[in-house]
Amino acid sequence: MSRDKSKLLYAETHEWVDVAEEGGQKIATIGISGFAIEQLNDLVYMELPEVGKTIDAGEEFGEVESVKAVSPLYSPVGGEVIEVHAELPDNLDQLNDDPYDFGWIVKLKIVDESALENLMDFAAYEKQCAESG
Amino acid sequence: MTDPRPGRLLFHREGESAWNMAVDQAIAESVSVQAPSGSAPPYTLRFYTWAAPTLSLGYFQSSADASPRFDTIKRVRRNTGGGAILHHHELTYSLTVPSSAGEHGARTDLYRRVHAAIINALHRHGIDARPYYLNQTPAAAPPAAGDDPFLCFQRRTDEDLIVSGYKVLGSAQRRFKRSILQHGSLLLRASEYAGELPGLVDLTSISLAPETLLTRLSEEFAALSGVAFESDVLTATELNRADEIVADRFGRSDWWTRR
Repeated sequence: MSRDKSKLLYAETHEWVDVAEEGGQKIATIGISGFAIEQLNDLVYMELPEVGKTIDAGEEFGEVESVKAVSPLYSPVGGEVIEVHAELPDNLDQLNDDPYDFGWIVKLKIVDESALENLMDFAAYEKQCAESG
Repeated sequence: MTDPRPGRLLFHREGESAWNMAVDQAIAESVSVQAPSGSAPPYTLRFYTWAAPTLSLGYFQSSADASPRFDTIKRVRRNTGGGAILHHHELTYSLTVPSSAGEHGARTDLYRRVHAAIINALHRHGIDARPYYLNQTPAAAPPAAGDDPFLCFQRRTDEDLIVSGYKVLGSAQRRFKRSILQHGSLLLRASEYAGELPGLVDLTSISLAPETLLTRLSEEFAALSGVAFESDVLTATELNRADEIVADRFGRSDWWTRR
């Protein structure tokens, strides 16, 4: 099933979030937007967090390297890492083609839902991207 | 027209390896905190040398890939990307600028501006340096990602500076929440630990004192950026934070072996 980017939530720092109910828990699947992947240009490395780690909203959950620049990835929500996309760091070239399905990075069990209120819908996120050129 | 805000200019001679890296991070954190209020200096330009020959590893490199020939020298893992650098008979610079939270990836414009200033400064010494993207030939194309040589100076990326066919300057970056750090190494002379990599003096027979070079580099960068630099020292907050970062990160053996 293909993820619809217009139904996702977005952080100012270009991470997308897909929130779903699983077994009575809210689970956030997180990736980076197609716009950010274009900015990153030629990704060569990605570091994922460890499963079980607790991450606060706004805290780093991973890092990437492109053109000798290391950029942190920031978690739009707080929660416990329950799954990471372990195949992704060895297949970064596929991120360009499929940022919203193959490009998922981590799944978090959401601890505090309040951070979701600070995220943008697709229309607001597109406006931010247009304004930043 | 108002005068541009001054940039900060710092010089640290013969810093300890972990401390050198920690100071760059402490400055970047300080600029990131000040950026939202607009109180961050527009540019913090720092030059430094190393107390002892040091191998600095790119952030994502594996320590297991370091050749045994570097076993006897100091070593540190950097925060920034790219390949390993042997800091010996070279001048290191760092530049920190504020940035917005919504940016990702490399700032090619910063690579180009600093490197243009270095080209201009070297030109004043009578040395002709060119970026690799203007200098390359198909036969000299860099290896594919993942097959890169271990040492930065054996690699080639577009913005690297080349003199007489040899790389003499490479730079790398790291983003913080609201700042970006770029640092790089200008190779002056070949090290006995890596004799295959000639420096500017070997290639041109022109004598270059680090103090003269850094003055000319900062003048050229100021001219290109429309900013005046004022010599400065680290704040007490930056100095304390650098000590913490040495203890938590760059001075730790598990930071070196984390990959």
